Amino acid sequence: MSFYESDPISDAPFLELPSFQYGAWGMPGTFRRNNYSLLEPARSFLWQNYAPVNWVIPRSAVLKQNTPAGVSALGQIEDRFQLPPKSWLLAWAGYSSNAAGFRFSIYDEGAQDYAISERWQNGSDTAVDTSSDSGSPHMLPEPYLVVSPGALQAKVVNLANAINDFQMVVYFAVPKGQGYGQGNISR
Amino acid sequence: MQFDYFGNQLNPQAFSARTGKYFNDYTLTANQLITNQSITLTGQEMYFAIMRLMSVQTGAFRVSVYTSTSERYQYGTQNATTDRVRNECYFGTAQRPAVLPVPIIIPGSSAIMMDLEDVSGGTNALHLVFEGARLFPLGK
Repeated sequence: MSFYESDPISDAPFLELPSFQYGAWGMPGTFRRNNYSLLEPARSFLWQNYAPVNWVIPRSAVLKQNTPAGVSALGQIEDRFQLPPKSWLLAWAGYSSNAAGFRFSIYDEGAQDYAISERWQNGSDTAVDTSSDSGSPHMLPEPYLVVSPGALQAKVVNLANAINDFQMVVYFAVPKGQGYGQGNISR
Repeated sequence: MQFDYFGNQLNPQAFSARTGKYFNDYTLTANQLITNQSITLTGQEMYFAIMRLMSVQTGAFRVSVYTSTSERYQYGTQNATTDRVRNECYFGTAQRPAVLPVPIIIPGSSAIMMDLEDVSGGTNALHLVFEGARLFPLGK
């Protein structure tokens, strides 16, 4: 039984935000709720033994190598990140100061495949454009389990023919006890 | 199961959760970077779970959020960094405030810490809100 079908509900409605919900509040005649939250995939991680880890791409120090700060015209930035075993990729958020936006891909070395999809874009001219849906986070319909050894590669490409200040955050749930969630600043 | 920073199991069924907010105002001059800005919790709750981040600002800024428990949550590459991210990514927008897919749970005796950097090039007034659940032991 899902959270929405339980009566009374099994937990406080922490994930029920109108801006992340869709569907009617009741089915005629049945009074059955037909309303779902885009944050539903996060429910499994709400009170579990996971620590939040957020990967920032590109780093602000990289952006500051240009004046004004940003990625060079049509430039590409690559980054790499190592996660403990059994980590999950849950969501991402992006922002581009230039309307042309950026494309990105996240490659899972263990799976030898792309983690989210082949390529996504935060820009203005494709079917996978997300810039008109600004805000955060964009939840994956199903959390992605990062395959051992937990090494991810990211590529972000500036689609503007000018310096573009853009950044994205990739949200992970990482099992505690492996350097995260222990109050250890140096890991 | 949920464990606190000291390895003790934190069972949400053993707590009553009440929604709560912690917030503060900051003013940055053009391109100013201020570090170690803190919002100290009241300490009445045993834990505070940060679930949503909201902001009102007169200009864009970058932020790094961490806690007085010496825990950082933003990483720029391998190994921890003090990297900062655009406010649109971390605090969302007026229409869609940011939701942390995994809440940051910190003891009620700790503080929310921030490094703030103006990128608007002008004076920047910030109002930052951290919304979540205050966890009280049942019976308290």
